[in-house]
Amino acid sequence: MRKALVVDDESDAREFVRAILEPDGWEVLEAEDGAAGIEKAKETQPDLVILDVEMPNVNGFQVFTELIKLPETAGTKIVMLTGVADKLGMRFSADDMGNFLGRQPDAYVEKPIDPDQFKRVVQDVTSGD
Amino acid sequence: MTPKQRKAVRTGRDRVTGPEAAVPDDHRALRALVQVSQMVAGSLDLADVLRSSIHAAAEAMNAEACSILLKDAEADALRFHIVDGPQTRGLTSAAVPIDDHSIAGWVAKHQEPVLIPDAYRDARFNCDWDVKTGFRTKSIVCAPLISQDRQVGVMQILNRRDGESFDGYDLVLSQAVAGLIAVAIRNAEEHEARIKAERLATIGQTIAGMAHCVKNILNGLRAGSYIIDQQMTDEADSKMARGWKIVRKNMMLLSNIVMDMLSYSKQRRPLYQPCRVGDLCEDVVGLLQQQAAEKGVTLTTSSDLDKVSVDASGIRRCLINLVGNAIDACSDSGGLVKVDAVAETDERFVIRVRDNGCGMEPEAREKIFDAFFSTKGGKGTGLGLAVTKKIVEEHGGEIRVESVRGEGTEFALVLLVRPAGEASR
Repeated sequence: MRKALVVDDESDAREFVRAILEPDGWEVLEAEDGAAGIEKAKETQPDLVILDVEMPNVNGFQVFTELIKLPETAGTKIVMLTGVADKLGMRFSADDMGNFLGRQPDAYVEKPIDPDQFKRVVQDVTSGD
Repeated sequence: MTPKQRKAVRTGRDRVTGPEAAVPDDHRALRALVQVSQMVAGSLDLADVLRSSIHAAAEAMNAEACSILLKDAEADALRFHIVDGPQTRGLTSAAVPIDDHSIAGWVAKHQEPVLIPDAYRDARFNCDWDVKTGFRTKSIVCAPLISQDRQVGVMQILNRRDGESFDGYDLVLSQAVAGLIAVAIRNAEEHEARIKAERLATIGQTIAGMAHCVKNILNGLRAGSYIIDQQMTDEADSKMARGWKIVRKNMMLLSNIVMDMLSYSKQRRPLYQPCRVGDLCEDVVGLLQQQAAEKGVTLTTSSDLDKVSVDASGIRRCLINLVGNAIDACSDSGGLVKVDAVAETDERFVIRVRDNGCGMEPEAREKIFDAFFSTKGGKGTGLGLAVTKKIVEEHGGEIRVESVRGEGTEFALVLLVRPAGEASR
């Protein structure tokens, strides 16, 4: 069974992703903050990580930077959940992310999540398209 | 200085016969100017500055009465703003047309100061005001108030207390005071504009902050409703299903308002990622299918585009707004809304949203992209098209509209083709 790890401090959001992915045959694991997300990813080596950008302490960017460095998760597909206007007023661009981190997340999905769009993105990302 | 003014000044000098007569006049005038400039520099209370300034000028000229009339742009007339004198009944806020039939009207129209030694012998003088107030006008000095080439009003000084007529010296003094008063008016206007802008900025920040909080709540609502949807039976007449439909529809409306507010309140760069525009169109059509069906509107979509790089969320927001509007524009059954995505040239593609609804009058067409303009009354925020235009322009694209009243409307989003691989460039 394919494994997806949802890293989001909002339990509603984790529940949402679970409800979308489980019917499509995913095993959904959860982590409620960035640090726990990194640990769980190392330990379970999921096929897919759904990563919220805006989290306290260790935010989504930091988790992303860790995951692409770690040998256990270097090949893991990563979808980032973004806000339309992030709280700091710093709306990052994909270009900035790529230049700064050396790699792009495999896709961005904006919150509030639209289930159909989200499913399609997950399918695209994990089918190697 | 105009020839007329120069002549007036000469006339004034002629009247003063010796240095001993000129000195006290000079002092009075200087004192008045110092007083007025201090008022202008020291206070932002416009009414107070105007009253004190004109009073100081009148005192320096030993005048019986004075007034300031400001331009009322809506009425295209002057209105008495400050009046000071023995008989001022009925003057406050009274309107004076800007024409050649009164001294103030003439000065405002021609933007030239005048010195009238004997009012009743001047064709421009309008004695109706004397009849109204019981005041007897003899001599007048009247100067235009001009702020940055813009006519803002006139000031008038009436009758010397010693029975003499005003002279060129008084005219020059009144012009100097008029210049300072115009500065005061400009200061007050700028101050007011600044306060208004600050207030709007505060409201904007508050709304953006609030919209952000509401958006987070909407995330949860959407999660919960999706889970309910998975368990909800599809029996159309079950009360639960009917009620749930209403909840979902209104949640979507709320979500659209909040997302429009957030999109409008922040400058953002598009987050380009590879995307099939046809899928985006299908998503939006699917999302609004229920709303269309309730109005008997047929909603279809087609696309022949390959993957391109766009900000999917942004374009989706545009489509939700355009398709939502198109459905609203179709009032009766038989409505048709079509969403097409096609390549226009090698460099550009177009997403067209076409309806056969009510169309727009040219006047409405002019304003549709203005924020807060809406033809939907209380049902619209007036942000949808403003946001749509903003997002399209952030993509470096353009939005075209064609509309015929009674026949329908077509919006075309013209966007640049960035091949799918260009996401990170």
